[in-house]
Amino acid sequence: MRRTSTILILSLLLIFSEMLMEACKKTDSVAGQGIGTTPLQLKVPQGFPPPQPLFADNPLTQEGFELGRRLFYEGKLSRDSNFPCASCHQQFAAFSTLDHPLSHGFNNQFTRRNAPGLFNLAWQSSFQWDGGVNHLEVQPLNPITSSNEMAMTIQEVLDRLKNDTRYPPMFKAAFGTEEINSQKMLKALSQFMGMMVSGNAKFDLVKRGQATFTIAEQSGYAIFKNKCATCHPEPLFTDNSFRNTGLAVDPVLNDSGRMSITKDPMDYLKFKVPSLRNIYKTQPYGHDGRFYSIGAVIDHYRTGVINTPTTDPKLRNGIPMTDEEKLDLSSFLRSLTDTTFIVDKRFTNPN
Amino acid sequence: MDILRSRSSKVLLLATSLFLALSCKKDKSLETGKSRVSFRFENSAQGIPLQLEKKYTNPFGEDYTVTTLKYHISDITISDSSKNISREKTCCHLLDASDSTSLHFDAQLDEISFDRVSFIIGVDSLYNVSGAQTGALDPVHGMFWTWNTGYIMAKLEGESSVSSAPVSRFQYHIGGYAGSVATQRKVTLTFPGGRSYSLKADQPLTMIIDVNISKWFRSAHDLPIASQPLVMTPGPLAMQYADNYACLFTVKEVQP
Repeated sequence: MRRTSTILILSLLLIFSEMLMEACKKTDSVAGQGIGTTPLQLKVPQGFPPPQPLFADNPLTQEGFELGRRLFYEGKLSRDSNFPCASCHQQFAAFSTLDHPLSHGFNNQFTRRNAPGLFNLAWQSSFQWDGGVNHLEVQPLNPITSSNEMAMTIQEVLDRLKNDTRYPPMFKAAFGTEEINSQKMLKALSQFMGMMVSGNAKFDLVKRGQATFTIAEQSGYAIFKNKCATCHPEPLFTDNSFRNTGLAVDPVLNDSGRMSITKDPMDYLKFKVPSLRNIYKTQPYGHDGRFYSIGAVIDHYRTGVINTPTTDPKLRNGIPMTDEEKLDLSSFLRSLTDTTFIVDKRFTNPN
Repeated sequence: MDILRSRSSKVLLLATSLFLALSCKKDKSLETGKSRVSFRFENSAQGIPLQLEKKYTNPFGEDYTVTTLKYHISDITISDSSKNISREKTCCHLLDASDSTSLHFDAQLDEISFDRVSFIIGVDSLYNVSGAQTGALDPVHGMFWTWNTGYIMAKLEGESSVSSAPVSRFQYHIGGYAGSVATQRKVTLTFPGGRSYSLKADQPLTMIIDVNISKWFRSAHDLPIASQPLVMTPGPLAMQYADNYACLFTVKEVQP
């Protein structure tokens, strides 16, 4: 009797545990939140439109943000450890690559396009110069896996992070368990990058009544509103559209721009309109960084626009501008530099 | 039953039950009114089970081997003509020919009578625009386009002597999630002999689905390897391959 009962109980337990394993093994682990996390808020500068619902399913926390920050500066995300995200996105250059038309990647290679500054990404609905990426969370997959940038596979990155004793506790703090997967990594990076808000330039102070433009800046603002604001409307200074600004095709890069994504011939040579915020920190300019100065960009619009079937209708006759207007416009554009953003301690290297 | 009466055994039982109840919050054991259908997808070519790297001939007489075959299956439903319908809650399954365990999975469905099964080959557009996903949709599985966001719905790679690509490779990465380039395809299958079945809690069923790779090349459209060994972007060609992969599937057998 006693023996039968023992067998009965053991069998029951076995069945139970099998059910348990069955029940657990197919549960996909979705990035949850750690216990006792500190909530963070995305602060929307006065006058900015509502941001994308970027954090609706990725609640902003101090722990998630700090993990994202460490990952952003983590060399292990690149094949030879020399190319963290921050190698091409330098804070002092508003997170672009200063003085490099094309950035440097793994094994002495150039990147394909000029590294854009990173700020106000929570107001962007597409990423890359060609708009091929539709969500901030999946954008980092591109530089990480491109052979001429960080040159890794996602699995290799995850393996490195799992084998680094610093990371499992950080993932646990941010997302509740020590499990490391690509979703959590990408959500953490998204928290860090999405928090990069730049809305504290002199321009913003003037708008808030806390400063006044110089005469040159004021004059430049009028010229800007008259000649630039269609494509670069404030407060973000981009309309996030794709336009052909009449640049000659570089025969080596032979970059067809937006058309490479849409396959639409009418998108040939169209590239994303970049924000003009912090523009004096992000030289050189253009999708391939061909212009070394703001003056050279303005000169292109004055006299250099090449008309092809997809050249933007607003640029077909160029943008006429006197030399004096050019100087005033430049003065205004300097007022778009957010000197607090580029030294903001929250975004500096945590190491 | 001495053992059940003994105090220590009761404590042990209680503790075990508690452990079982607490250790797994997301218990997926059967919900009330539900039962299980075990799906078994069997990839085949020329009427025999597909073996990776083995040489086959497609309907155009082209030789080929398969090195990679992966596809997403989502939105599984069983239904009948009298409006009985049950839909699986789990979003997506990734089936990978190189991992035979991925070809078998259980779906929880309502206890209804049904005479057909439907599913979508591919991943709903929502998951293509909502940022980083996990599980079957984790980009580590190599079924995600980074440069032009979106999932590869199905992927077939291999070698063929008629391919003009380097090292005689062919690569079909079929994707595109919205509008005129959407490559998700809904498949509805009836059962051998037009039979219908009743799903009951105590009587789970096994459904064996044949996936005939020969039809990848020739079914809705004629797509010989020699004409295009490489398809890796959304567009009209990808749409044709999607029409073809909608034809791969037939229910071979439903077993009690």
